[in-house]
Amino acid sequence: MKKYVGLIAVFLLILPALVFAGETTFTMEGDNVLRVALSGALPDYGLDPAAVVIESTGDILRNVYERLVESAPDGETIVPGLAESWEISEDGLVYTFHLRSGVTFADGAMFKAGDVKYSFERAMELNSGVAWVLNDYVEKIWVEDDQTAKIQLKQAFAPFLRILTNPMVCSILSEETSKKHAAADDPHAKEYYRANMNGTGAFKFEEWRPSEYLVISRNDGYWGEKSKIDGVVFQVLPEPETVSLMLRKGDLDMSGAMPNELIEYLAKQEGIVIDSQEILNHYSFAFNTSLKPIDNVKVRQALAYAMDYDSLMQYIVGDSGVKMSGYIMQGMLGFDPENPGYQRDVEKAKQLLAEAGYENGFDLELPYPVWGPLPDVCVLAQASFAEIGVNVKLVQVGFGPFLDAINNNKAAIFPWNGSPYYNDPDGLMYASLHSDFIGKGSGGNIQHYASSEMDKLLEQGRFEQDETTRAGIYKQANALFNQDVPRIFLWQAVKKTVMRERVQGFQYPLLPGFIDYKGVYFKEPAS
Amino acid sequence: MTSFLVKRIIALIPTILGVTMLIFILSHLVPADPARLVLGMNALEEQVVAYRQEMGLDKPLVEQYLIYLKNLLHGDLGTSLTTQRAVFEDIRSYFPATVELVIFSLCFSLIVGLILGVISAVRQNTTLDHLLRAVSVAGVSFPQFWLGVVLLIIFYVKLDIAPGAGRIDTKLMLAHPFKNATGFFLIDTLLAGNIPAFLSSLHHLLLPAFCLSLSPLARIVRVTRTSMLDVLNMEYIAVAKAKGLRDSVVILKHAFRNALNPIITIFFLSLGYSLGGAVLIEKIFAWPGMGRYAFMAATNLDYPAIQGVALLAVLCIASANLTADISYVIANPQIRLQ
Repeated sequence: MKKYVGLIAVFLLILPALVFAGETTFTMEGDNVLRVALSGALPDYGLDPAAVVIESTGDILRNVYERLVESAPDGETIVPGLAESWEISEDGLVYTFHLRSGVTFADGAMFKAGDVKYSFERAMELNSGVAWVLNDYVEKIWVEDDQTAKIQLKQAFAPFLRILTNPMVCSILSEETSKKHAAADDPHAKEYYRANMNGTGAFKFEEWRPSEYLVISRNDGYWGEKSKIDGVVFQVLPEPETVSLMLRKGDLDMSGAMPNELIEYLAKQEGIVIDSQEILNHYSFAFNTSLKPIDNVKVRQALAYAMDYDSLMQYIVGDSGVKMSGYIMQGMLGFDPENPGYQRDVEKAKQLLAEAGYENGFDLELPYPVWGPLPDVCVLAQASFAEIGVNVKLVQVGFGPFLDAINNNKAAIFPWNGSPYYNDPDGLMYASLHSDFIGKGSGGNIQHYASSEMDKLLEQGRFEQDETTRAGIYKQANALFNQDVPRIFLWQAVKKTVMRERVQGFQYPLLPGFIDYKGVYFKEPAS
Repeated sequence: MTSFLVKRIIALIPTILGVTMLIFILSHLVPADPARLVLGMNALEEQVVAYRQEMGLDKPLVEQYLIYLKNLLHGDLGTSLTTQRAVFEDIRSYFPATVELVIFSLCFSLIVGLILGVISAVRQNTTLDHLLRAVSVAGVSFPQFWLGVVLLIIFYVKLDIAPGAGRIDTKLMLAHPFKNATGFFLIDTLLAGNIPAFLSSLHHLLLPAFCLSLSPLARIVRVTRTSMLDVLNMEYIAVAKAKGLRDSVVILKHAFRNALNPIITIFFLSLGYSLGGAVLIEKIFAWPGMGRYAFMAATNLDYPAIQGVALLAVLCIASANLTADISYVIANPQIRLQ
């Protein structure tokens, strides 16, 4: 036994090297690097644009990959991307994109029209995120020459161009690179794209260490205006207190999601600035209108009148949101500032309940996950509804059981939060309110709301090509929504980003997942 | 020794089977759908159904379990529903970070704990003894989460002598990279001759390892003190002193060696504690270890990843117990392995 000890010792010494052999790293010098905090384990889910569903990973993808068209900083205007120009046929069915020439991917592959066809077909086959809309409406994609790609739709889908700005499905990949990394059991090169990014954007992928950091560097071969910073390091920092300390020290330039209390504290610290932006993200209470007594519209209206919106905004939301008065948010086509929405009116609420036959009130269960301000909001709702005789039982659940309860019709009322995939009322309203999407999961009509009038308005809005007419249609839809109350709208989120003073040129976009880092620069070196 | 090792490895098999079955049943009892959790709130039912089919979640539960066992026999721990990567690859990526943190903290706990425990026993009922006992109680009592943030505020922000989060200075890592041969940064940086990276890794280890070490340290101090006091009161110690042996020889050669058994037990029990306690420490210090992976697996109800983490925990605890048994023999050759 003793004579083997030495051999065993040597074997044990080299065993880790045999088993745990890792990858090499690479260099990026200097202080001209933006350091951003990422919360959670993102992007451990992977980096494949056709498979990613997380907005903060979308922010990264948006800077490495490009789309045919892009969303301008105002979040509303559509500007050229990889397509220099485009035409839409009179019937709204055929889109012709004239592509930029001389553009290369980070690995040197030339960008050509075939990449557009490949990227969209791949995304539709993998069918993640907003790809289902493409699957519903894209008839075919073809190439006329290396600089011209055409997409024909099944119907004249008005917001089609807006969908094409989405970084999580509509990013353009290189067909040549994909085929190089595809295999018989992996025809879409999923394994390659899970851990690599190869785009035409202002930044290129450098390194990803899961749960540690992800690095992108300036793409000096970029066809457009080069970034002024050398790169961006996204550090995975799950604890907001740690992010706060690092920002104060100057070891971080920008935060991710942070609790309001920490943001308020950091706002008073030297060298820190807060960027605030109203975004297309909202909080609401959704009703399952197929369950009694919520199926009665007067009951829903009564609850909408009973909610204490003033206390909500003053004590819970503060300057992290603006009160909503309807479904369509500020910054979106069809937003109606005149829409009165609901104000608290306890007497009217009681009257409506009596008219519905519930003058003695009723019991209601309200499940909620521990997520942001939702626990406080639900407690406020419980107190508000108690005043009209509705006894709310609060049920705190994990996020998984919460989604399950909603999808299995066990929750008559539940808090909800969301952003549309694209900045258009169609993206906000169609799947969530059209009767065709009842029973289609949490991305569909979770309210089980069926209104032929609403269906008609949504269909009209979807296929109307004139923007002014569309705006009018969605205003009507918004008003009908207020009348039928499938949801009680609470507030539109204000996104706050905590930054060091040296960060200039940054603005959080209207739509989460659309951050643009190439305009960022530094005022002075990091302290 | 060889037959003892073989017997213990064979005895692990029913344990592993039992753990996999228990974890499988418990995780499937949770009323949640991992496909919905992975695909997010905006996923449509057709996307959820397609994902379930792709990952084999639509098969009957018994079939899913048998497929898992069959793959396990071939060393395949399955594919994570979250990362879409082999669970083995995930573990290979995350585990070394946790092992490095735990071993470093336990070594600190052991060395310092033994020293303080012996001093406490030899200086029984003195002011020093009372102080050390108070410190050990405090060590067990402080909540790790709070302590981690407090230490960062003091040493990182105010005194600027400790680094922030992470295993190594990111800027240094990018400017002076090294090959990740083993995943243990202290070893890899030395193998690469990268002294700045070695020092940065060591520097980054100090605070999180200290936080993690306090509770085991406190226990080791207490057990060492108690065990040493028991032995120091033995007749053979009196004989040794009467023979004129130096105090250091009496304490270290005669008393300490015979006091080791309960210390070994507590030390290896602390290994289990440290593996679990590392989850909170890893969150505060952004340590990319198994704690992060386990948290992600649990919140996403990622069945293969949960199984992988559970199996790893079983293997770690079993290895610790085995090492403890062998240590008893080394400490006291009169003990025979059975």
